[in-house]
Amino acid sequence: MTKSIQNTDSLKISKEKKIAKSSIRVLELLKVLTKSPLTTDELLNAIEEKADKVYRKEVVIKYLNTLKLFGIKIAKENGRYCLLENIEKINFDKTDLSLMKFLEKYAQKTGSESLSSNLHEIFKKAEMSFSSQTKELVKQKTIHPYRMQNKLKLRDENITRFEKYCKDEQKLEIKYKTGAESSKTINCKINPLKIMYKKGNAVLIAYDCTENTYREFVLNFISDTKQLPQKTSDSYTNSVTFKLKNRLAKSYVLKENEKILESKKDYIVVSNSKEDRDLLVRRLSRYFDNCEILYPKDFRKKMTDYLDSIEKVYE
Amino acid sequence: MNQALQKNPSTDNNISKTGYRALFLLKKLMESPKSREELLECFEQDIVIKNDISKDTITNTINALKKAGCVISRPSFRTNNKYVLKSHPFSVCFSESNIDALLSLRESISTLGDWQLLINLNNFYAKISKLAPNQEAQMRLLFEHPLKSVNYEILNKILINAKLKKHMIVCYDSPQNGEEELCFTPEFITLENKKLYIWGYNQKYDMFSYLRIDKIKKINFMNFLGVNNEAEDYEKPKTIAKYKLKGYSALMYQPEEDEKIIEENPDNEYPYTIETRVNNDFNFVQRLLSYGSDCVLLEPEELKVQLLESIKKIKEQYKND
Repeated sequence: MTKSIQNTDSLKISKEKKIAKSSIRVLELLKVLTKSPLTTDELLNAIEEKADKVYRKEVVIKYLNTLKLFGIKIAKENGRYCLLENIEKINFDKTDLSLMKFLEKYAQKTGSESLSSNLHEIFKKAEMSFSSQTKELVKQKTIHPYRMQNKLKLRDENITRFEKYCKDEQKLEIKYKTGAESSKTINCKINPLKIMYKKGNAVLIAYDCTENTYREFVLNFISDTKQLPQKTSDSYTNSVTFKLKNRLAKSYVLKENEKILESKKDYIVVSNSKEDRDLLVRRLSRYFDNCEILYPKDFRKKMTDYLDSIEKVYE
Repeated sequence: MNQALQKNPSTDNNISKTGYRALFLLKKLMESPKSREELLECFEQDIVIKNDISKDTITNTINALKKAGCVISRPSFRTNNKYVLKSHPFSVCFSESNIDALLSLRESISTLGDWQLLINLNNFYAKISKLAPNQEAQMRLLFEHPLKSVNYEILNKILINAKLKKHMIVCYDSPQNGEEELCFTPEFITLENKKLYIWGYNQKYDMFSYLRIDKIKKINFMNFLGVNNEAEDYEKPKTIAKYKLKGYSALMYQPEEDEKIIEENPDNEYPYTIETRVNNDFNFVQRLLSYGSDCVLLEPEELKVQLLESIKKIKEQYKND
């Protein structure tokens, strides 16, 4: 037994010996450079930390030379070494390139600083990965941004301000014009979560602390905001349960945050936990009498009120 | 690489040859899986390391790459006796915040109704998924989109048929009747509620209708000799409807196929008046229901009746409340 352990150990040692340590250090240097630009001292630190040994600065230069000789493009900018090209290459075609231009424009139009800066970073990394064919394509052809089927309209007022509210993680008090009756406003106390664009409109996804539900607020409909000195807290929401019948029960695709509670031959019972209640009532009405809301009671009433309001239009 | 060599002809003392060898082997395995013999052949062709190859060169270098974080499978019968590089840690990667931005961007774009844009975007994301920081992020870039269940081979066949104006026999997984064969002449595609639909003439039911593309299991062309698969003449729906929109529904409005805004005034309570050809009554009433009281159907009268009857039926379920 002891002998066999000794044998395994000696095997391990011999395997260890078969690795040229300087090659690992060169690879380590490449690895840290993919993360961010670094000074000579920082590169030296990275190697020393990994090897638990002290090296001269010349070693870093030698390893950088190795990378350069191999063809990896490295430049020194503001005292830091940075990779100009990625080792991983991607072949982008004309459609991809025109899409990149479209997305850049899209981000600009939204006015979202975080989207623009992220896309800038993403495209920089993608460009570092351009294959030789892609580089040739960029040189030879004029790439126009992708043209949408319909004209793109983006309404982006105040998006930067609301992005900041989301980052700050503090409660907000807002006055909101309700969609159906634009003259009516309601007061809401909310936990702002994130901004997204829906059909070209900036929408704030938030937790409504008064109603205990998640809601989507169209930024254009928010008339007044006040940031409160209260941190956002954990959100708890009651789910809505509904029954889908007949053919809809067979073809229904569960949405995010939905689960099936009961499944029978000709019906299913679904629980939905996070969808905006106003939008959920609109969506469920599309299913005609193949859908019945089961719980909570106030949501059943919401559906009948919604239907009553449509009937009222034609009275 | 060769250019770099030409610039640095004598570099023996300024470089780490074992480091260079590791990079060289990594690059070769990134190109394709290779056997020991193939790798040795590659080594012999490289000007820097060709005179520096020993019996254990490949094993040592593979060990170094593995130690540095590469996942390389051993040559075996399964891998056709080749080393296969499964992953490596030397690529520039997206940050978590980059991934979140990409996913949220696709979510926004999928609401614009432009299905071609969404497909192009999915293809682009599939390519850049190589730069994902981990497998989970890669899977999200590849599959977290509403068209994940669409079979692109089937979609291409539909597009070809729509372009050629030819009918096709489709095997459709209908929620009502199970799998059934339909003779269908495709006209146009729409992206509604994150699902892709093909609209056209359904010969079996003699009506203009729509099919969910992810429910089409197979398409059989009718190309036998003597069989004409030119689409037969069929009547397009003639009903024209007019409606006006306000509030949330007006803000989120995007014109559908065969639809146009005939009056637009942002200062009006109802900023849009719209004229549409009703391709399918059921689908149109569905839309009216989702607009709620933001919408007034101006004409035709029979669709108003259909809408109110549908409402009555839905309300029937809540009559005991």
